[in-house]
Amino acid sequence: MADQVRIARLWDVDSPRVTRRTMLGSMAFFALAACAVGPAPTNSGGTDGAGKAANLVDEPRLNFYNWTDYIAPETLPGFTAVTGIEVTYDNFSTNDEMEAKIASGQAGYDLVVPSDNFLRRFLRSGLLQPLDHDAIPNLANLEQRFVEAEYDPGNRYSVPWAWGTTGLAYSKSQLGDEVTGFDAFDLPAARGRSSILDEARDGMAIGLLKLGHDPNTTDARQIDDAANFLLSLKKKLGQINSDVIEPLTSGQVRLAQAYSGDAFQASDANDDVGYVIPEEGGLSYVDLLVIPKDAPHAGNAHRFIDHVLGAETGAALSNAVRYGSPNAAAKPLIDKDLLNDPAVYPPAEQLAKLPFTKDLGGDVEALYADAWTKVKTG
Amino acid sequence: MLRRWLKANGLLAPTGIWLGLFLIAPLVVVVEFSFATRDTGVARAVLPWTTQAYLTALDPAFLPIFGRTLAYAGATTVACLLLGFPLAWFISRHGGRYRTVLLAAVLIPFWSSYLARIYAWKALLDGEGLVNTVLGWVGLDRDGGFLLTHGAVVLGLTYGFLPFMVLPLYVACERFDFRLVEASYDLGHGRVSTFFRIVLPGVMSGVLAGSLLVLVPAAGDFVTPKLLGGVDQSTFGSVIDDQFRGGNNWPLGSAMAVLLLVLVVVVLVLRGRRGEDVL
Amino acid sequence: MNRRPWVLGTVAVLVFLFLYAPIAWLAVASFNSSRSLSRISGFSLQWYAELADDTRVFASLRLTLELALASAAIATVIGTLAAFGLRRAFPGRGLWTVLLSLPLVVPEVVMGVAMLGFFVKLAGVPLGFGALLFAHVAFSLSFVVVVVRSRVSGMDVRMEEAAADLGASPFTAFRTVTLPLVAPAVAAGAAFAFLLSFDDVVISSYLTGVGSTTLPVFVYAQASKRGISPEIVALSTLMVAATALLLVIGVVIASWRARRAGAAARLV
Repeated sequence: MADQVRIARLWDVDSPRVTRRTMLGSMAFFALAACAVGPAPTNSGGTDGAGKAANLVDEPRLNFYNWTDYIAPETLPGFTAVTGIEVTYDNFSTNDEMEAKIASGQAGYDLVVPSDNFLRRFLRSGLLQPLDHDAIPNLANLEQRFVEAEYDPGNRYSVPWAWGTTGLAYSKSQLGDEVTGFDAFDLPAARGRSSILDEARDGMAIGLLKLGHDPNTTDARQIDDAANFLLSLKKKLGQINSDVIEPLTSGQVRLAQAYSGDAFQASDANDDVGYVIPEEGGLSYVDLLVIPKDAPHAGNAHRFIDHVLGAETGAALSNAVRYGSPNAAAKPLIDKDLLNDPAVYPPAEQLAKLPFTKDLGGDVEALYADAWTKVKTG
Repeated sequence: MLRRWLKANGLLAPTGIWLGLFLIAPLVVVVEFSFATRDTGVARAVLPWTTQAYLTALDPAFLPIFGRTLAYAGATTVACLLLGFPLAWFISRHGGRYRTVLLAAVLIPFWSSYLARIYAWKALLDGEGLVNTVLGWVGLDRDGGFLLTHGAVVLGLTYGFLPFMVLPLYVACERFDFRLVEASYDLGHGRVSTFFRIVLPGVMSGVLAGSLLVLVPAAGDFVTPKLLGGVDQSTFGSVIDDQFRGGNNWPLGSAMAVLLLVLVVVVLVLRGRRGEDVL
Repeated sequence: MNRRPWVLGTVAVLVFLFLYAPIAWLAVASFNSSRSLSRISGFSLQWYAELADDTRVFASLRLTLELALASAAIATVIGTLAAFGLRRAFPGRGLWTVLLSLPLVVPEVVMGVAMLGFFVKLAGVPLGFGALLFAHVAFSLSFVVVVVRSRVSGMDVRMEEAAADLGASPFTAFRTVTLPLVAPAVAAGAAFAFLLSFDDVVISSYLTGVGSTTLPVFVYAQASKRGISPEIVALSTLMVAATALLLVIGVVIASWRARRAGAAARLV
């Protein structure tokens, strides 16, 4: 019973839709008490077995929900030209906001791009459709690392869109070549003008890596030590903020823990911005294409996934967004300078020190969240 | 008496229905969340019922955050009063037929995007920004600029909420009989005495309305502190926000929101008891 | 106090400077040749050109304006009625004022999550314009009520009674006596309601549906990956410039009509 996931009926897509009638019946507001929070049906793991790529609504449409500026200009027109499917392209700014909508079961999106850490939660709550691999022949183009990745072995529910690393972005002129690891936060020029990411697992990773622990540790003591380390580090920081592009570009922030993609965008605007993977290590992250259970045009979503996994489309996408491409077949078509940049495609020995964040289970994830609250409010 | 009661409630009915359906009913959901158990899946809040969230929310560790929130909001309200009152008075007293225009001019900057305004302030306040450069000419500059300071947060909040002070104050000044000021002078009262004995009581309804409209939302705003403040900018609103984002702890966030609501309601009701208008 | 208006005038000018300083900076930055808002590196019109080609920005701008207008209209009408309802003491008035203060205190993210849960799952309201409208009216109502009420509560009841004594119907009395008295406050309330809706991000981000992204939500989504977009800076500059221009035109027309009316009066 204790480990059984209990889901609020409010967010439960399996329960029959509450109709207008029942709503009117519960007009006495306090009757709602019985509705919003409740135990869940037990099969929250979602449907098992392979999916079937079929549209619920038969029309040439696709509702795509993605991060902004995270696509090549020709990706959508190219897809429409080939398939005749019109794409409605909406953007979200945070995983949370996107998750809340998908979890409501009424969002109407066919294709969404959560980050790997949110995929875990989606899977735990059975919000996604299994993919129909027969409808995605280009799946064979994927690099082995992303087929085996433990957030979703065998790509049963997700296909990677783009990936990157979490490292340090810095001002070359102010900090020079001294930036090799987290010691850089102690540099006098960085004092009060540095920032770390406002994400529990990414932020905590600094403390864990600095103390020589695994960033995926489940040891409560190590997590606590990391939080204490971060509390002392905090005195030297300027901000705890995930919004680093403009501060780095303007030079206001001289050292920032950053996602590689953001760091590259800052250095596009200001070539004084450099990016390094700390010697202590870091984390990899990947954004994934998934199909929500309530998607009205799941068949079209499969066609899109297959389209993006094509060599040319994948290469064009990677060249435009400057993130790492999970598409092995696209590699020969990707810009050489991008492909040879160790910050985008780190060499194998460095890659070993850049694990994906693992799903540590509800209890340990809660430990991280609480430690992070302590860091932020302390 | 009954007729008056019926009439008042009739006029209030549309508002009541709207708020009941689209505000109170969702808030009931929040109250339920606050008594639920935390879940780190997508569900966020599940059975069984518990009061754990309230126990956590009342942890004294959150007191400094609460204090900082009040300090930000209080300083913002005072700053808005100091800037807003002279402006409102000037427009209503000396604006002549340009009164409406001047008043509209107060609102025009807010046609731009909120984020764009905040980023503009970031650019103006940072180390190499215009403000620091100009202050540098008279030797008042600060290394790294004024960004990431408490002052920057209060400035940003004051900027964002100034219209909420100016408009109610203007409405009050419009109603004020300026001849009273002359009369007061004629009776030999000085400026200070006239201000506190005649002007301030005369526009008090505007001062109160404006302060309420600035103080309360400023206490809840966490985006401005986050963008302009340094590491120590967490406010009550941002702690609540953090609990809802990243899947942290919905029951805790809800419990904190409920406590905030209860606090405000108690203050309002106590004020009402003392025979003053509640709102 | 009014013998030396230049002191007050100076303060007023300074406050206006404060209000327009970041706007002026935005205007400068909108012509910047790089993406940066803080480092001006050269003159360029490219952001305006890109803006002109960006159909998505204009689609969300249109939706945002429609939403803000609809929400302001509803909030102003029912909020003004409520302000009149609260005019005189009656049993239960305290409760009403507490209810009306709630939207001011609920943190936005809490409202967003609660509304998403309630609207979608329990009430069957689809995400999109309808849900946004319900929410926007709900959080801007209180502002209208507070502003209108600060005017209504101090109004002299005898004026309306006098109108009634002189034989005016309640409607005529309202139209000719009451309305002109409260008009500035109602206009201020409407302006608030409009701007609150026009600028709302947090609540809206939970309630937008497929193809119904409002401009602030769009801007935030964009800023999260690439920082604030220069296109948005250009758009903000244009919006401020356009409203300022409308205002100036209004002033010119008004003063022209006033002069004509004055001339006509002299002729008679």
